[in-house]
Amino acid sequence: MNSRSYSLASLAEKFLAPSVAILLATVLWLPTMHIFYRPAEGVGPSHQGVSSQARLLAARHLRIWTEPALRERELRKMQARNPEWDFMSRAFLVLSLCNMALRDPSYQKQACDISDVIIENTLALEREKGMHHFLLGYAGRTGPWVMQPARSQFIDGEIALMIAARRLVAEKDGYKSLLTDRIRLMTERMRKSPVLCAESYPDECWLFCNAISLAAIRLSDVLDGSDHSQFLAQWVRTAKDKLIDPQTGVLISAYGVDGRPSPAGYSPEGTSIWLACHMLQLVDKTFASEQYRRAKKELGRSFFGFGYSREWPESSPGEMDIDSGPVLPVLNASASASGLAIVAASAFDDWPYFSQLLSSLNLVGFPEETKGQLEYHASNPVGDAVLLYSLVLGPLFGEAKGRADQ
Amino acid sequence: MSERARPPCRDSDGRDAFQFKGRRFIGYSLFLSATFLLFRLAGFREYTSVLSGTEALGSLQRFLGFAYIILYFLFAGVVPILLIAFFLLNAASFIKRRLLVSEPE
Repeated sequence: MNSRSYSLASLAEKFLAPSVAILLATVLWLPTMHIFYRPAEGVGPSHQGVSSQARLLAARHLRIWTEPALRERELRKMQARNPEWDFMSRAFLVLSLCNMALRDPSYQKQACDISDVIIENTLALEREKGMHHFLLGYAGRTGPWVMQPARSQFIDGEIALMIAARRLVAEKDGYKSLLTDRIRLMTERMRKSPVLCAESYPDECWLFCNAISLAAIRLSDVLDGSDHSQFLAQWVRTAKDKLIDPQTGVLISAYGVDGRPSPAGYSPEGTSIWLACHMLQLVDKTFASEQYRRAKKELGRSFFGFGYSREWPESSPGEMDIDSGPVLPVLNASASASGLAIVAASAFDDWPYFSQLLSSLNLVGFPEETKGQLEYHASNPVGDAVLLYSLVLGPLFGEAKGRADQ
Repeated sequence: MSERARPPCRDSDGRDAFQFKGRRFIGYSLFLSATFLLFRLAGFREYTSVLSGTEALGSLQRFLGFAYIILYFLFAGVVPILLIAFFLLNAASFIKRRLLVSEPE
């Protein structure tokens, strides 16, 4: 063998050793990488008061709602992209502000003032432009609404919840009748369906919207002394009987007024069930916990310490849509479902999963803190509002439970 | 063409000086890190909002947004691997050298 030819030893040194080093380095780095993206201590809602991350995240939203020009620009962008996002960002922000006010009384005046601006602006838009202003275009294009006159449980439920949350922090003149009227409308319509659910879109009842409505009904009972306990118990019995996916035991996402699974959401979906099980905590804690446990088994995943949620269970895969948001191939990680999973993990004190989900958000959300505001570039105002809610939730439902126990 | 032998580097004890292996790993790491830092300082992080689809971005901004995302993942995922690999390679080489030196002639 001459000096130019490679011996086995030199080949090993040139190619094998670096390849083995890269392989070993990968094996070492991938499982430890998540440590560098873990949320700081005290970020979770078990923390007393309002965490610095929540304050920073809230600051941007507060700016949007206190600066008219910025508000108009941001809301126009949201409306153009997805009118539902505009509406939902309002609801989650009001819920967040109310929780922040209960956590830290120094927030109370600001929280109430901004909540009032949001609620009144939303009601004005609903009056002037109708419910379609906040609904996706197909609300007016597809088949007729089964229940007449047409109303959307998506709109009614979230408006009722916003008003109820605001009133739990501090009572406000005029809001009582606004809430009781809407609760009456919602329950009347829900009772007309064999599955006790009202439609959000023509002949589409969504678990997400009906679970929010149930929470609003429960809060109104606490606030005004009304009693819908029979109705709520009947809803849970009906849901267990008619709305559970037989393969997974998880509530399905969308169904017709008669309870038939709808093509839009015939199976459980992360974007519905995570929030629904949180809202059901106000209705039936045991059922809610069981749904969370099952949903976590079917949809909750982690990859080298980074948590995420699937949109659909493995047993009934679906197709990417406006609700699921982008779905990462292979892992089937859904951005929207993962965002809402943070709410559920927080609500059910599932700190390991909560921390894993926030690690993923820190990795792929592109957070940026500037001028005392925190923004996730890969997110949008509704995503940020959902995250803010997951960081501060707890006191509002706690307050409701406390008053109910009294 | 004849190969020119590299003059041996010697340490103060007259032994061959330790030669770092896998220096290209450091080179790649520096290149990726410097490029990422450049993008970061230029403010292209803002364009990662291309992922949320809420901002009306031009085609150049979208391109820069995606380029930033790729560089970010290379910086976060690949650069540490290259650095760890460099360390492992040289740690192994150093240990091997020490063992050879300590062997009786």
